[in-house]
Amino acid sequence: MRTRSEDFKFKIWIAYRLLFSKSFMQRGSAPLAFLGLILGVAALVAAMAVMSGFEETFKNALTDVTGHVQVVRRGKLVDDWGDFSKKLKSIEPRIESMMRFAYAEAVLAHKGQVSGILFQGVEQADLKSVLQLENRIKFGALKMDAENVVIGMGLAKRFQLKINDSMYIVVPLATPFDKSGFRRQAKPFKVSGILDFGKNDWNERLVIGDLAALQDLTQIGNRYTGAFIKMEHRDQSQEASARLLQRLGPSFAVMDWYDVNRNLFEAVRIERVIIFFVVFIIVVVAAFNISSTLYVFIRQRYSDIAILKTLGLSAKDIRKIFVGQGILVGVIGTIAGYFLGFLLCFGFMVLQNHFSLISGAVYKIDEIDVHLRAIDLLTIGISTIALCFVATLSPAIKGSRLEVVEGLKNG
Amino acid sequence: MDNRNQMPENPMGYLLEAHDIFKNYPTGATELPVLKGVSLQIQKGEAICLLGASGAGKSTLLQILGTLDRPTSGNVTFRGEDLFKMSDEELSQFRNQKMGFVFQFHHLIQEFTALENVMLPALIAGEKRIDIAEKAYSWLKFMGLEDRVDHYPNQLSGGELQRVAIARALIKDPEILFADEPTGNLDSENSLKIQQLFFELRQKLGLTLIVVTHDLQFSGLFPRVFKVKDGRFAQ
Repeated sequence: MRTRSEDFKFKIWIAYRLLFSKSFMQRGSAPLAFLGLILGVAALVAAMAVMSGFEETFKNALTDVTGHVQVVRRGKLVDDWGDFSKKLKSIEPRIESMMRFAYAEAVLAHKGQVSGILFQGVEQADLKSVLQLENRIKFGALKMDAENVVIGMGLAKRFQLKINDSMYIVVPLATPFDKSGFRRQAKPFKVSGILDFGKNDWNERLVIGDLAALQDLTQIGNRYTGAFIKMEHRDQSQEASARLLQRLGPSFAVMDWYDVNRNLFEAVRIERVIIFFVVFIIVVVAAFNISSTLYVFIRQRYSDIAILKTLGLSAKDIRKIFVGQGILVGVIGTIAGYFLGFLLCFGFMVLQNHFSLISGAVYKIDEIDVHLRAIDLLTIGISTIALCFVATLSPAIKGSRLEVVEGLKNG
Repeated sequence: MDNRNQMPENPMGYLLEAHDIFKNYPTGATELPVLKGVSLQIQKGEAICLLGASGAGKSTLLQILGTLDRPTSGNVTFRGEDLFKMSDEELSQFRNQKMGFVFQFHHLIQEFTALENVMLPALIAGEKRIDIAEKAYSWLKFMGLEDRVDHYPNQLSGGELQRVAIARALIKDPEILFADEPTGNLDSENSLKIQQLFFELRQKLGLTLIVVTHDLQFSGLFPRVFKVKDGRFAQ
């Protein structure tokens, strides 16, 4: 006697042979129903990949440029890095590495043009262990010292700055004895690298240089604004930031990469769910098509159902065969849909290289990767196969209830 | 008077018995009686013929004897066991193990080759392809179809199709072979070949043969003939 798995294989074999028969597949409705399912799955794969790609691109941009968590002293600068870093590590032992930084609102001046910028100074020694700025280089090199800085690509474009071009960074300094209340401090810097920070407002405003150069320009001595922190794993960021905030108290602002753009991430999360359900409607419609096609198929195969029953298949077996057909359609449609979806993703990437599909002003990033997440593919696959299974139930039950005598008359 | 339908003595018990079979078909608000209290007993190895005009109820009786249809009342027993008390699954398995069927139309599955069609009942029974392929081939060879093993039904002639259907009916070594107008769709030459084949098989395998026909010449070959008329056995 057959084992259960052999019995399953036998039923799938019959289901497959009947389903992919020339007589059935050459009828227009069956391939079209199949195509509808494949297109639905492909659309889902592509939509989810683009949404995940957007989220992932944005996450990478944030963690490359600001680390996993940033701690900033409110209204005051921090003095001693040794004590402060030890304190942070004692609060959150999962910190892998950290780096102090300082920033100043400044003005960039070049060839008669001026624009407000955010000048950020980073500690060179710890830079590579905390941030991944090297991933962001578009032109030039990551050289930051007393004379060199890197700038965002939007800023470079606006000021027509190229590698090794000189420009001035101007900062206002408080002067308590002056009636105007401040004086300007300017210093020339060379552009050593042009970076795509991955976020439109950073590309338009951010200039990163050496911490000592910033401290010198802004005359803050050895003091700094706060620290960029890299956790052992990105997923620990939220928990770590909550713990640090609680222990450091209200004089510190603590933000993880998610907090930096919480609204956007929340919107993306909701959009992802909505898009899934909207695009899934295509799969639902395709499943209805499959159901109606199977009804027609069963009507056409009354004689075969009758003879299979005559030869010893029970109503339950017949039901399993037709449900097997539904699962087969679901599995094959899903696999084919995956491949078509991958092609669509590839097409999207190609198109993106030639045309500007994303508005940086609206979405904060100009270009996104497509990111195929296993959980998305799994959800799409399981939902599609489950839907095909449900869609097949009704025709399968109808087929299984066929009276042999009726079927034989259809011979 | 034709007395060939007199019951033979049966001290050992009958193989198949039908008791007071009624069958009505609903036709709107009323019911159309097709069988009106038919009883018969069949011994192992017998060959019986159900003879009658179109619409007399002979095919309905064969379908009930073969458990393909249920009677409105009455029962059918196999070695004393009431077949219609079995569940659908038990009955399907019983049919697979004990009964073979041949119909007027071959009812071969178009997507399967001749060999696969013959193997089908054994595959349904849970036997492995590798174990039954040789037996299926032997039956096709016996039918003179060894060159048609890999042909699909649409590549075979009417006579060949019917011989494949007979091979399929025999693959599980059934105790009873039911045939409903098996020559009704064939020319006279093929018809004669199939008739001879049935009796050759009966002799070779000791099969119990129950055949429905309206062909007097064919019915003349049977030792017992039941004439069916208006849902009853005619005297």
